[in-house]
Amino acid sequence: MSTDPLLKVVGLKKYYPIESGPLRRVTGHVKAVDDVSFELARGEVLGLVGESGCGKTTLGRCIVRAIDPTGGVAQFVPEGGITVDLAAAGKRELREVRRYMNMVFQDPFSSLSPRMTVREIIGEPLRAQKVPSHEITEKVERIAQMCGLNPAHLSRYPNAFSGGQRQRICIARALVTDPVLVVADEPVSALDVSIQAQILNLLQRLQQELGLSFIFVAHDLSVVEHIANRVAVMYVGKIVELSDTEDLYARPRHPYTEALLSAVPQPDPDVADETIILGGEVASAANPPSGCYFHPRCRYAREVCQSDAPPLREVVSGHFAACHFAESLQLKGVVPEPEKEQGVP
Amino acid sequence: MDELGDRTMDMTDSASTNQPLLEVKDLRVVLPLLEGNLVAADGVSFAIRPGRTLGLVGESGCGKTITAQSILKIAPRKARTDGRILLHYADRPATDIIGLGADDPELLKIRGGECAMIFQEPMTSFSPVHTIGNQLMETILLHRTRHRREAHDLAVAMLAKVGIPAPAETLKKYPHHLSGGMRQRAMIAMALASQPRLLIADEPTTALDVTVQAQVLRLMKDLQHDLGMAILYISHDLGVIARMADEVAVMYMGSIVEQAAVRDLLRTPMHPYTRGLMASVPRIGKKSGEPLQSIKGNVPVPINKPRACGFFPRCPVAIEGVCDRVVPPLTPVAAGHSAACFRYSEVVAAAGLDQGGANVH
Repeated sequence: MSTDPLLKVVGLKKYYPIESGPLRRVTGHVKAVDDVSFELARGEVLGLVGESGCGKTTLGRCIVRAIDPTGGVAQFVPEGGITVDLAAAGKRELREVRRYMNMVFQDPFSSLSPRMTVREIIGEPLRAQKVPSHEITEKVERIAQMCGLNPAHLSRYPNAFSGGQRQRICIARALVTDPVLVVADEPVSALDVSIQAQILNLLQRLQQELGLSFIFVAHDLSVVEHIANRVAVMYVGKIVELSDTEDLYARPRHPYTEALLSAVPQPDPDVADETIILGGEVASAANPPSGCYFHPRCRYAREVCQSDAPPLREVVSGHFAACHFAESLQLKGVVPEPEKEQGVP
Repeated sequence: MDELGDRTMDMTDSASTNQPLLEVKDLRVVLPLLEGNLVAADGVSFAIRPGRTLGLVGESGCGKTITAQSILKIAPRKARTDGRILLHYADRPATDIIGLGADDPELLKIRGGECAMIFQEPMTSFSPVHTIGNQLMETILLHRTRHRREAHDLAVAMLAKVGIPAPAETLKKYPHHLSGGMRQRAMIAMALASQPRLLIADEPTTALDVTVQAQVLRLMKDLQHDLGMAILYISHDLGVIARMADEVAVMYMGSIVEQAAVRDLLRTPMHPYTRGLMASVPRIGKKSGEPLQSIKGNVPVPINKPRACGFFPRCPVAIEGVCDRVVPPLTPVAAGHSAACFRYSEVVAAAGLDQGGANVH
């Protein structure tokens, strides 16, 4: 395992033009992903959390080039000797690295073609890679088994499967090309609670056995805590906090993270409801507020927050936050007492 | 459709002070399908007191939604409904909703007026060809005021209350102009606009973000405090239930398998399904690094449901020859705590000794 990151994203942007008037002139931009930078190590699970519209899905899709980013660099080193800038790669270049990355979607009902058998669905990425058909058959059966699907059921159509099994099919499809990077976009959100655990366990087992790197996009902070090594919190297109999972949950450095963590309802009658209710709305990416995007909802905001946008900076080793007062604020996490002394400034 | 027209009035309940607002007694809903009879609700009984919240927990297909739909008589037309659903009044005998005809004026007053509902799907619950304002004001004009001006102001106030920015402009928008979250809020506004005595909330915050969910949950609690309405809160999220409910009923395969005060249920769940459900959700702040305990198998579809414990095929402590032959009745196991399991005492004992191994047999 090399020490180079598998993926190095620098200043990634995705802007959608806003057109208005009869001539459809571009009058502004929705900055869905705005100047995002992070690194992903080999074998690492990076959780990407945030509320709907914060750009987490767009970011995931830009990375696998399901959509084309507006700017920035996403340097991807799937194997020694291969380096591709995913943000700028052309069609041919992309085709060569497609097999190293794949995606699992949220809804296992709409992401499977009802007209294809499960065998065809799982084998599709291999066919796109022009793998000989006898290899495909063998590969599909092996991966289906790994994902907990009965190979005898492969000639069935997706409608014969329950939600959890469909998600297993989606996972098998994502893993059939032996990728090194999987972007999982809310892979358990559409599933029943008792099935969620099965799929999470499966993803975790496969990640460890195959040494995969995951970008795990989710809004459920308990799920992310369970599966991720590091977590990036997004707000209105930007990463506002990025840190090891334990640190982030024990000692958040951004007021938005604190509010997010406090808002997760816990199934424990003895936990007092200390939810920080954020006023107002998630800021619009088309017309964001001045300065720090979070300042209108932030209970710690001061004058400087209205005028200056805080950059994402390393507050303590490995813990990045985009807040002017990241050092001085004593924000409350959800893990009672961190064992490490690292959290104390 | 149903042969229970003679049950319209029920005089058995005297006007006691602690009288429930709504009583569901032995509700049974069967959907005849091509594949067989789907028993969506199988002997469901519960009561909701004024100003209190009953949480109805379960996974998809467990019958929680059809139970709620039966209360408003909006279950699918082919559903065969049996049992009694009594809506109590302080000054007159209770109404059995199941006995009401489809166009009974009483039913029209109950539906959307005294009992309002928030649906799970914000996309499909609004008409796409009418503005939000039109749809919101329709409810208000029907149940609260006849003056359009006043209705308009109320609509604006309701939208503002559920956290929609620029509420006056939003009234002129069509549902597709709003995001999913915004649409859900507009629907909550619509349900609360008639100041219902009972609010049926079917997974109302499932589509919302956590910070917005927190706002909405608090809003519903505040409104409940102000108006004294009762809430039937349907959710699969035990965290939300812990925050919202006073009492909880857990449903599985159309039956209530456990019922208790929220604290008791979360502290000492007695049914293996409830225990499994609680073990399978990751808890925030409790990262262990271990795989989650999951309930084996899939959520079954209750078609041609056998006379047996519905949880039998997935249960880690099932007794062969007993649990697959007899339906365990919902029986009191502690003060205010009922469970439908033959082995609840052993389940509790085993869990007390060994948290991790309780599900391994």
